[in-house]
Parts: sequence; structure tokens; C-alpha cells
Amino acid sequence: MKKLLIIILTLAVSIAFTADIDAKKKKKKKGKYKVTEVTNGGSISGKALFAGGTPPADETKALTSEQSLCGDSLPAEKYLINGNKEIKNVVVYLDGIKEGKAVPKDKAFVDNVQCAFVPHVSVGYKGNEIDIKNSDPVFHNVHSYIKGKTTYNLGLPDPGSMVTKKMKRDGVMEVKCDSHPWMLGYVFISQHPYAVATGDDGSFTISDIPAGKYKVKAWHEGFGEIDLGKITVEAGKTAKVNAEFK
Amino acid sequence: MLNKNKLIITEGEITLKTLIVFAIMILVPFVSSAEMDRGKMLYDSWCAQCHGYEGDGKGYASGQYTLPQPRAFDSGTYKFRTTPSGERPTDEDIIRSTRKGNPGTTMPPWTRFTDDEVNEMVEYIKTFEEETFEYDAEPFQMGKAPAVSDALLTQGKEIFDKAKCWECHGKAGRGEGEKGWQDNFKNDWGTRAYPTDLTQAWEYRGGATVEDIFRTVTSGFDGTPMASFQSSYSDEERWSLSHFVTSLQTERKTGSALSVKKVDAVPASTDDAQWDAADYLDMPMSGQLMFEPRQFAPVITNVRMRSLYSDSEIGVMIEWTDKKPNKGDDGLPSDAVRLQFPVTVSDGPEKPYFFLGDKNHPVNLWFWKASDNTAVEQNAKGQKENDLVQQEKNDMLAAANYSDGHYRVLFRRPLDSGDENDITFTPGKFIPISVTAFDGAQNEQGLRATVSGWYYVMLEPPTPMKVFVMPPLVGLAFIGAGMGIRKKLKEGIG
Ligand code: HEC
Ligand code: HEC
Ligand SMILES: [Cu+2]
Repeated sequence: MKKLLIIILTLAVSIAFTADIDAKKKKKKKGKYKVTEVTNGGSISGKALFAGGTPPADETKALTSEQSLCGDSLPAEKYLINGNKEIKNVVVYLDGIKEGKAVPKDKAFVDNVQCAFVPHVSVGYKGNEIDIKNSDPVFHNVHSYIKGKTTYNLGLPDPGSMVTKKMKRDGVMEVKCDSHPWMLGYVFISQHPYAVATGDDGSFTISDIPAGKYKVKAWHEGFGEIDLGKITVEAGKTAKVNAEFK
Repeated sequence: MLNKNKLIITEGEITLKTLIVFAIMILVPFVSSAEMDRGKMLYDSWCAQCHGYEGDGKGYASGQYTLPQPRAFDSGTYKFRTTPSGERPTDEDIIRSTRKGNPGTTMPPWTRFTDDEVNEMVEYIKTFEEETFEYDAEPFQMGKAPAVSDALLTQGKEIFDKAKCWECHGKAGRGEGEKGWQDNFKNDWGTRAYPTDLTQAWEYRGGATVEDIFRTVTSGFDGTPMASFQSSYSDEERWSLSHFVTSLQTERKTGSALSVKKVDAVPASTDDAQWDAADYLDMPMSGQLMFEPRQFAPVITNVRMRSLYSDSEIGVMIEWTDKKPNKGDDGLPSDAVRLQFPVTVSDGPEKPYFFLGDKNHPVNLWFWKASDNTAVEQNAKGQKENDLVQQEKNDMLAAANYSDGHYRVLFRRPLDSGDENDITFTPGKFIPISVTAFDGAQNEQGLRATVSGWYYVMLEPPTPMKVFVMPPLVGLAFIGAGMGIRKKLKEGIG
């Protein structure tokens, strides 16, 4: 009899403990970004480069409708790599930075121009607004996703119409259009201001970083995400690192 | 003594009482809210068979048994909301879906629960994906629907055209728009999305009243290609649009018999004005569930029958919606439709088995296929392959038309073909008829089909008879029962 009771008791205790662990797991959610004043911060700069042999050529997408407005095919803008193997539209960011300068107030922006999203890749900041515009005389429905989950799906029937939404979640937001299967763009939504996209020459600079050691990552729509390792940032100085994709 | 870390159990020390108290004290906080508990219990008993015990939408009654799939609550994405696109639903939204169900799907309206019970289930459903519900719900104001007027309908139509609703829903609103057939036309849950047939009110999952439509076009259906038009048009414009959409809905005229008028000559073409003027009967359709391969999730939900006869001929026209025609050349079976009659009409309630007849009651079949656009006559006395035979002498003439997502198939035949395997039409007599339809896009052919129950056609005698005697409708009830799960789920539960 007593033995049985002891078994019950141990069981109760062990259930209690596992439940306890579960509760802790839940509380350990990603910490919020904290804004502090950054004086004499450092920077990280470099280039996104293709380090393999021949860089992949950009793809073309065949149009299945609206040919009279937009032609028979459009560049995918997936691999925009110039003669120096410098890659455009790579997003370089500090992974998990806990505090630093304030997030810029700038709105993010995506336009529908000639059956493509412009800009093709951009960086937005969580909590800010995004303007989604249709400059085409055809219907687009801007349907965006983060990790396959709809963030919004907006019908934009009239040329010049614009909708403003809030970016509530962070992550790589895919922008698509159900009416035009070839359309694809990205807004990299960051929780903090330390995320930038490379331009035509593949260069980037992340500035005003409080001195310290940071995990740096780079994302590209075709190559995926790579780790650039831990970079030490010194006050007032610029640390150099390249994002090399293969 | 209750400090877990210092717990030392020496046998003699502990009495039964303290042990039990101890166990309860440890467990209670974790089995915490009794509310959640009852919510889970109710959910597990009534919702999990479809929505899954883990809220993943993969219960036993998912997959081939349903279209659309039960909502995967662990995705946190909700179609039916009063909030802007991308926002969480309000609790009332989840309650409304639960109470009203989703017409045209397996989601039944639930009336058996008290309000408290529904609230508890809602709280439990929200735990499958919590991030969505960390934000506040900011519902839009529904306001009140303006009274409908011609001016409003005209404005609504203009918006329907301008907003390109027809690119997906089709010019006639039957869901036949080209954009709906692109490869990417999927929903968040990975299955194919089909633009709704707006002419068939019973298929509106979010409800078919003007208020329901206003809510749908304002919020969009998150997770599907149906976008939100909240920012594109004012409330007033969306009300006119919604009124216009209701004006696309056809009224279903159901009953058990169609009376057939006599004309000088049965029109040979499907678009003859006489057909539009002819009386019709709507026949709700169900999947064939008695024999393998079964069809659990039929897409053809209704066929409309019209009929006219002359001194020598009868014509029966069948109409139905098919968002995309299949002619058998796209790797899928051809669309087809088949009428079924008993070979001999009994004077009593006796009728052949509802699907392909039986040994003692053979049926006469009129079978039209889109692939060759011809109709043939067949006989069947059961569901096995060699129970079905093709007649050698063909007395059948057919004409067909497909436009704007709409099939019209016309069968014509002499009233009396002189063939003993054919049905003979005698004015004044109630003649059993049923319809089987095949949608190639749903891989329907052979036994996999969409079926109606038995109905009657009655050729109106030129000189009116005093009394029409309707045979007892015993058979109908039997067939109704055979139609199975889908119907039962919709009407039986709740
Ligand atoms: C027979 C299967 C079945 C059962 C049982 C069932 N559901 Fe559903 N439910 C569905 C299907 C299918 C849908 C999807 C409808 C659609 O997508 O149009 C759905 C949708 C829903 C939605 C709408 C979600 C949204 O996207 O807005 C809610 C809420 C819901 N069900 C709640 C419940 C609750 C609560 C129960 C139990 C009391 C329950 N369901 C039982 C099949 C079922
Ligand atoms: C990009 C294609 C597309 C466009 C454009 C579109 N719809 Fe839809 N619509 C859909 C799809 C797909 C569904 C079905 C979603 C589901 O339940 O899976 C739908 C569903 C609906 C429903 C809901 C029916 C129900 O089941 O309750 C209504 C009403 C509707 N649409 C009206 C409109 C109106 C009005 C417009 C124009 C302002 C429009 N749609 C534009 C694709 C579209
Ligand atoms: Cu588009």
C-alpha cells in the first residue's frame, strides 16, 4: 500500500517538474530589442561576393498573362551579380543584437511596376508601416507571407492605389501576387536597425554599433543564409568582413 | 516538509492523508484552469476528428474526405474574420464560425453547446498557435447594409468589373475566371484554392447574406488568394459591391417532380429561348459513397433539369457549373453527365437501386461525354463492370454547350423508341429520373461520381387530368440515407 502511494507521489513530483520546465521554455521567448543612446559606435562594412567559379546567371520568368503590358518574359532578379562578382540584394545583419540605436522611422515601400515588385528586395523594420502601391493599370493582389503564413493579402485594383499596413512580425517576408504567379519580391523585416541590403556594387555598411562582439549573418534569396562569424566592433572603428557565397 | 528539494520520505512518517494533499497541491497549478480543461475535453470529443488533436487539421475526417481541409489551427491563420487582412480573428469571429458552420464544407453549425462551452473551446483553440493572439484584435465596424436599389446594383457591378473580381470569379460569377487555374493558386495550407461560384449561395463558406459578403470582401480570406478590399474601396462602395454579388445568386427550386410542357417541336439547340422559359427543377448532388472508388468531396453540388416534349419526342436538358471544362485531353477524365431511368416504370413506389440499378430493376442510361460530345444509350443492372452494356441501336441525339463556367447538355429521344430496353414516356405518368455527373478535374469517372437521388418527370397531358396521383415517396427517404456522411454531418450534429 505504502509503496503504491510512494509511486503516486514520485509521479506527481515528476509531472510537476516537467510542467515547470515547459513553463520556463515559454517564458524564454526572444527578448525585445532595447533602445539606448549610441555615442562613438563602430561599424561593420564589406562586400557581398560570389566566391565560387562561374556565378549563376539570373533566371527569366515567362508571363502567362498581361503580355501586352509587360511583355512575354521578365528577369527574375534573383542573381544580380556584376562582372566583379559583387552581389546585389544581399541582406547583412547582426543576429540577435539586444540593444543599440533607435529603429529608423522610415516606412517600407513596395510598388507594382510593369508586373514586378519594386524594389525587389528591401529592408523594413518591425513595428513600422509599409506602403504597398500599384502603379500598373492592371489588378495586383499583394499577398505576403512570413514562413509560409499569410501576413496580408490586399487587392489593389486601381492604378495608383496604395495601402498602408503595419509590419507586426519580423522575418523574411515574401511578397507574391495570386493573379501573377511569376511575381516575387522580399522585405527583410528586422527587429532592430542593424540590417542593410547591398546595392549594385555589393557593398554594405552597418553603422552606430555599440562596441562589442556580434554574430553577423547574410541572407540572399537564391543562396540562402550564411554565417559571417563573430565580429568584434571597436568604438569609432570599422570592422571589415565580406559575405562570400558559393 | 513541502519543500520539494528537501523531500525525504520515511515510510512511517507519511500518512495517506498528507500524501494525497501533497499530490493535489503539486498538481493543481499545472492542470490549472479548469476552463481550459473542459475546452480541451469538448474539443477532443467534437472537433478533433476533423481539426486534429494537435490542431493541425489532420483528423481522421481530413484528406480525401473533405474539400476544403479542416482548418489547421496551429497555423494561426483564419479565413473568417471581422478584422483587417493579416490580423487575428476576434473571439466572436471564432464563435460565429463555430455556431454557424461553413456552408458547402464539412464544418457543421454547432448548436449543442452552451455559450460557456463554446467560449472554453475557443480559448483552447487559441492555444494551438499563441503568437497570433498576442496582438489585440482591431475589428472593423460593419455598420448597416443600405437598402438595395437599381443605382446601387449598377455601382456594384461597376466595381465588380473594375476590381477585377471576374479575373478569378468569372464574368458570370461561377468561379470560372482564368486566374483561378494558374499553378500557384494554392492556399497557405498547401491545397488547391478554387474561386467560389458566386451564383450558388449554398457554397458560400463565409455565408451568403449581404452582410456576410461585405465582411468577406472587407477582410479577405486570409490564407487564400481571396484578397481584402478594405483599403481599395469605401464602406459604401463595398456595400454596393456586396449587393451586386447577392444579385448573382440563383434561387434553387427544389422539389420531387418536374412537370414537362408540351410544345410543337422540341428545340434542338441548347440556347433556344424556349429552354430559358421552360420550368426547371434543381437537384442537389452528393458524392457516390456506396462503392469504391468513392467521392467524398464532390464539387458539382447542383444540377438543374429542364424538359419539354412534343408528339414524337422528349428533350431533357441538364445544366451545371464546371469552373474548368475537361475534354479528356489533359490527362484527366472527360467531363460527363448521365441520366438514369428505370427500364420499366412500376405502378407502385418501387424503383431501381439509386445507382446503376439492380438485378431485378435494370436501368436505362443516357450518357453524354465532353470528349466526343455525343450521347449513347446504355443499360445497367448493378455496379460491376459487366452489369453495364452499351446498346447497339442508338436513338439518342445530343447537343451541348459550355460557356462562362456553365454546361448545358440536351438529350433528345423519341417518346417511344420501340426498344424494349428503353424507357417509354407516357404523358400523365410519373417517371423516375436521376442524374449522375462527372467532373474530370476531380478525377471522376466510372463509379467515382456525383449523384442525385430519384426524382420524377411527368409529361403534362394536353387535356388536363383531374387529379395527378403522386406515387409515395418512400424511395426518396431510403436514398437520402444512402447519401451518407456529408449530409449527416451537416444536419445530424448540433
Ligand atoms: C466534420 C469535420 C469538422 C468538424 C467535426 C469540425 N470542423 Fe471546424 N471546420 C471544418 C472544415 C472543413 C473547416 C474549413 C472551412 C473552410 O476553410 O472554408 C472548418 C473551419 C472551422 C473554423 C473556421 C476557422 C477560420 O479559418 O476562420 C472554426 C473556428 C472551426 N472550424 C471550429 C470548429 C469547432 C469549435 C469544432 C468542434 C465543436 C469543429 N470546428 C468541428 C470541419 C470540421
Ligand atoms: C485573385 C483571385 C480573386 C480575386 C481577384 C477575387 N477573389 Fe473572391 N475568392 C477567391 C478565392 C480563391 C475564393 C475562395 C477562398 C476559399 O474559401 O478557399 C474567394 C472567395 C470569395 C467569396 C467568399 C465566398 C464564400 O465562400 O463565402 C466572395 C464573396 C468573393 N470571393 C467575392 C469577391 C469579390 C466581390 C471580388 C472583387 C472585389 C473578389 N472576390 C476578387 C479569389 C479571388
Ligand atoms: Cu500581380
